[in-house]
Amino acid sequence: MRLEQELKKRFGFDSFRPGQEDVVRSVLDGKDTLAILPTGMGKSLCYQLPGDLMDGLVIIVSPLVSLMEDQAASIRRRGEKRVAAVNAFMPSDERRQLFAEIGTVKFLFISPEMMTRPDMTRFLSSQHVALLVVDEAHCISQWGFDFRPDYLRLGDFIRKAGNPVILALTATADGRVEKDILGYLEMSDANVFRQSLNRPNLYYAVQRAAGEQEKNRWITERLTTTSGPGILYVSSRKRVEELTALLQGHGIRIASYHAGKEAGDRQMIQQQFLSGELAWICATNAFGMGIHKDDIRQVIHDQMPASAAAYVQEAGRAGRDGKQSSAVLLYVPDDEQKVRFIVQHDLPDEAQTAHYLAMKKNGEAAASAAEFAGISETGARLIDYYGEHGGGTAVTEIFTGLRFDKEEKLRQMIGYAAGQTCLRSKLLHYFGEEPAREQIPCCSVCGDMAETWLESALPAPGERAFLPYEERIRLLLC
Amino acid sequence: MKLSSLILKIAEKMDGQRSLNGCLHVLRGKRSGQTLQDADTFSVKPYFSLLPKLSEAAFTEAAGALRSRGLLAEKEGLLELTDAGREAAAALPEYRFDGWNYRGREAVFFQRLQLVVQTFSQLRDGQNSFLPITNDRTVQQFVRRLIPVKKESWPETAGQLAEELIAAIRASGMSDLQAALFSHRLTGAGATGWTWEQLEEAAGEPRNSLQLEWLEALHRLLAIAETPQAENAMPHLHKLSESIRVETPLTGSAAATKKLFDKGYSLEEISRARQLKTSTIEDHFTEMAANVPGFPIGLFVTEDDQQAVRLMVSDGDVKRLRLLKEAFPHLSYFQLRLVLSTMKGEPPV
Ligand SMILES: [Zn+2]
Repeated sequence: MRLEQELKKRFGFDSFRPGQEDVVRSVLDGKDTLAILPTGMGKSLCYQLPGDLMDGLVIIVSPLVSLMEDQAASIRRRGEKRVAAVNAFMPSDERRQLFAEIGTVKFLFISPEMMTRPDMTRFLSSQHVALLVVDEAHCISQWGFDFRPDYLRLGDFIRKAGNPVILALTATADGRVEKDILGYLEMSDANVFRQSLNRPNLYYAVQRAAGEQEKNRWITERLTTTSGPGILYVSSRKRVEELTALLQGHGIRIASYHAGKEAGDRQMIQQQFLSGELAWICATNAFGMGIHKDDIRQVIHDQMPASAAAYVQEAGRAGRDGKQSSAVLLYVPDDEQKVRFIVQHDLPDEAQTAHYLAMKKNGEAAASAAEFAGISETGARLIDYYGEHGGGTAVTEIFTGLRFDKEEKLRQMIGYAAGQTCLRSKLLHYFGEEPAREQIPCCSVCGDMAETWLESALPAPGERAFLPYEERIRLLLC
Repeated sequence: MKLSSLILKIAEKMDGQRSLNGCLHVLRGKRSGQTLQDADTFSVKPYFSLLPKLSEAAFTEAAGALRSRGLLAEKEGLLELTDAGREAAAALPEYRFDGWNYRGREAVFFQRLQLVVQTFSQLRDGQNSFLPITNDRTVQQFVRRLIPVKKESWPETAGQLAEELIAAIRASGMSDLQAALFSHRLTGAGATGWTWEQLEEAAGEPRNSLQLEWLEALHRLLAIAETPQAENAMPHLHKLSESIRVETPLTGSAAATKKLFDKGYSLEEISRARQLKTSTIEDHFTEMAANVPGFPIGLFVTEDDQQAVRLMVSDGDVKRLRLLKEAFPHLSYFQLRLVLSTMKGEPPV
């Protein structure tokens, strides 16, 4: 088949991006496929194009409601209207309506929780499923940085649905995660495509600081003298608000973004960022998935994330347009303890697990049992899942293993921040890739660069003032 | 506009008859027989359900501020206005809330409006694909129906909408601040809407106060857009206000109870069929008595007893259930509430 013609006809592109064509061909050949493509490499085309050419329903399992909505909207934008998204927040009458009209749907986005409900499994497996896409497939692995136990139940669906072709997509997967994906999704004879994670146009830097004061000074200096668009990643909502206020005080066009903000406000901040009305976003890691902004010049981390995989993903949002960009990690040796606390706190310990299970046995609802035992929602989900699959002692053992693994991942991240060798090569090494070829600019270890590509052209921002309402309404509509 | 001003307004109406909690329930729009009935009895329907997510802490703080300014006092668990409080309440502007009839659905009206304005704005700039401000599918479908098929008529429709908005804002009597908030929450090409933080910065007032201003502005606009005259004068806005007003003021659960009652089920049978406590079903009946014209209250309370209770209430200003119960020991609380809920009118001054 002349795939490039179809690509041109349906998407208007002249050629595939690296890695896409192999994946599309593999899926069209009816082979189970695992594609590990760096963020921003056009993952969704890998199922949209074959989906168009295949008979039957394409189901896309996606972990985040916002991500799902966003992808569904982007398919609609290219004129494909046979798209629907179903998640737990959807009212049941809407859901029923969707089922009644399932024949008119080609691409169905669904959350893993929804998908694995018995009624949903029954219904969907009675449909002709041409392709099952598992997006963010690393979520299936407890070794992934974003483990979601519900993904583990997909295997059951796959069997019931008569083994449709599976396409698993992820941006990051080391060897262990890859093995988990193939195993749990029962893809024994799959094609695996791995695109290098190296991003030649990113300059990696670690900036040491003595403490928070110095971090604040450095960030302020940096944002007042270099240009955006940029994302400043911060570990807590509180710090997001603090830093935003500090930087706004210096006249920087920056806004805060985290999951605690009202949906409308989040949407407006995104749009202001896309349109250039804002130069910076100060955000928790809730920001970024599904953001299509190619000209982000810098991504700065106020504190290291919990793993190299998370770092690669977040820093990788810079420079999607291929132009020179920067990824800076601020590092205070104290950070290790803070991150360790957050990471380990995510997992319930033995006493908490016992407490939780006892409360549940006494008829307490899962949510309140978790609250009483002082464990996170994710923690409770983990106990529920492993409890079902092996009982109480197994749970403790598994958590010990997970805790050990998280510590190891954090050590990698510390190794990156504190180390004395090429940052780029180190990231690649973590994912089993060969060291990078020498390049200039490379990273702050290979040679500190004046980041001339970030020359500042900051317009002096004025005081924020209202337009008269008639004027603003006419500005919008006339 | 401060939360404490709203509390003062409500306290003025419930003066000496209800606890502070009764006031919180009204603002939150609690769907209990008691609160629904209070809303009616004390004519505080405009404030009903204005702030469904109002936190206890914020409420207590605002009430505390009134107390420490010597405007509000509590006696035997009942809130009372001081003389200063009464003066302060009288000095407040007249608000045009209509919480009872909109019940938070003004947000849907605004989402529709926001999306319509955004769509026309983006289309004008030739951007046929954009991130919609809301992901709500029902809102999206509603708005899609409003976009004319013919591309040539887009600019004209957009211009009409602009004129309608400006005219409606003028006619609504909203303040300059309210008009500014309203117009800057709208979003479109080259003029993205402002977040609440950005509005705070420009207005120099805290968000909670701005959000109340905004809410009242929406109620004012809706009141204009809904009128039959608006169908010709501002057809687009009129369309956007469609089915925002709550048709049946009964709560979902009470409506289900009503269905069975209409089929001839008794209170006990309904309780069994719905597997709900008798007291819950009684709440539903009270709600029905207050809202459904012609509800046969005579099935539950004799005509004589109804008369007697009504007389006592209107003569003696007694609206507290406990006192009524003492006067009518042979009547149950349920029967007393039923009678009260059918009594309309201003509370005693
Ligand atoms: Zn290097």
